[in-house]
Amino acid sequence: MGFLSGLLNHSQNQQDAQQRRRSEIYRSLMHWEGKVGGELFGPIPEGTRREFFCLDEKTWVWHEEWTDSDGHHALTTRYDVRPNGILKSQGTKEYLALTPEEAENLYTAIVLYSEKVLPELERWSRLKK
Amino acid sequence: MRIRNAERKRSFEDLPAPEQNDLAISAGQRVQTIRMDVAFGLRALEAAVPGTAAHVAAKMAQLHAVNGIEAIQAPQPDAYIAPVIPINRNVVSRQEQTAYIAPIASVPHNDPRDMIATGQLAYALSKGGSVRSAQEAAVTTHAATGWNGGRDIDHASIVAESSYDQPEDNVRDLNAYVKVLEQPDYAPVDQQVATPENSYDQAARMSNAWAAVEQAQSDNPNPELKAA
Repeated sequence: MGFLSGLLNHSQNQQDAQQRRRSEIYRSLMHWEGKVGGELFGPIPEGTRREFFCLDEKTWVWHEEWTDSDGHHALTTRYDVRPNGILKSQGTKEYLALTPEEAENLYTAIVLYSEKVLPELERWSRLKK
Repeated sequence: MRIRNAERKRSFEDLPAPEQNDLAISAGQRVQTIRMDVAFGLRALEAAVPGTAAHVAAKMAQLHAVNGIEAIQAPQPDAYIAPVIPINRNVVSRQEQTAYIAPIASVPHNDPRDMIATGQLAYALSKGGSVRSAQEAAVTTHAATGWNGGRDIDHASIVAESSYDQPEDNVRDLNAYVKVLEQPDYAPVDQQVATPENSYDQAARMSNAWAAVEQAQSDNPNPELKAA
């Protein structure tokens, strides 16, 4: 009984370890995408951290941190894709509609982002034996 | 007991390498997620602002028109359409490489044109046979321009690796990328004044990271198996 339960525990531990590892890799990929995405918009000022990435099937995130005379700032802008448009929120409960210009800029960024990251992700996905 | 161990070893050896499979699965999930998001985003924007997709497509077509393998954009401020400079696939000397690189060195760092030009150059160098490996193409591209540190090397290297179509190197590349970013003293050169010297220094650190990753993989190719 002890042997059997040990074996089951061992198997469960292995599954947990594999799941953890996949989560870590998934986060690493998003981290890499965020770096690549942040560099699509021109020079990043010194002392500024900028990331732009696809969070899930219906959300894009722009995160920026910078320091000025007022101290350190961080702003996360979330773009929620809805069937009839895209809404953005910036840390408040209020959602704002995008202006036409912002909508076009966002979509250009999305296209550039996908062109930059998808070929690499697809190649990695084909590594599966 | 010996037989059991031998059998177990054979069965473990038959298992696919977990690192490779885990990366492949996660990358596949990301591909699916991004594709869905791009499709949803397009539909949503068209619903909100009709004509957006066509406008963006026209803009992208302009960008791609000069994105041929054998051409590098010469930069013009505020313009994506620019004259092209033909790249000789048989470029052999560093001087010639630098001559080809010079026109694009004034493109602002992180401008999409910068990335495209970097990738094209790495591709041209690697296919031209003037460098021995994709990594060398990336490092040469970077060092010759004096561009900005590790992240440029990452981009150029990833693109150059694609040209070589060596999937195992991409795994190493990603591992190295993550490892370098995790180093506590990692300071991108693009926050300093970029010179060929510190560019090489950054390149050396990347190489060290690659070596460290390779060593770690060689010492312990299957961490989960060892833990078991």
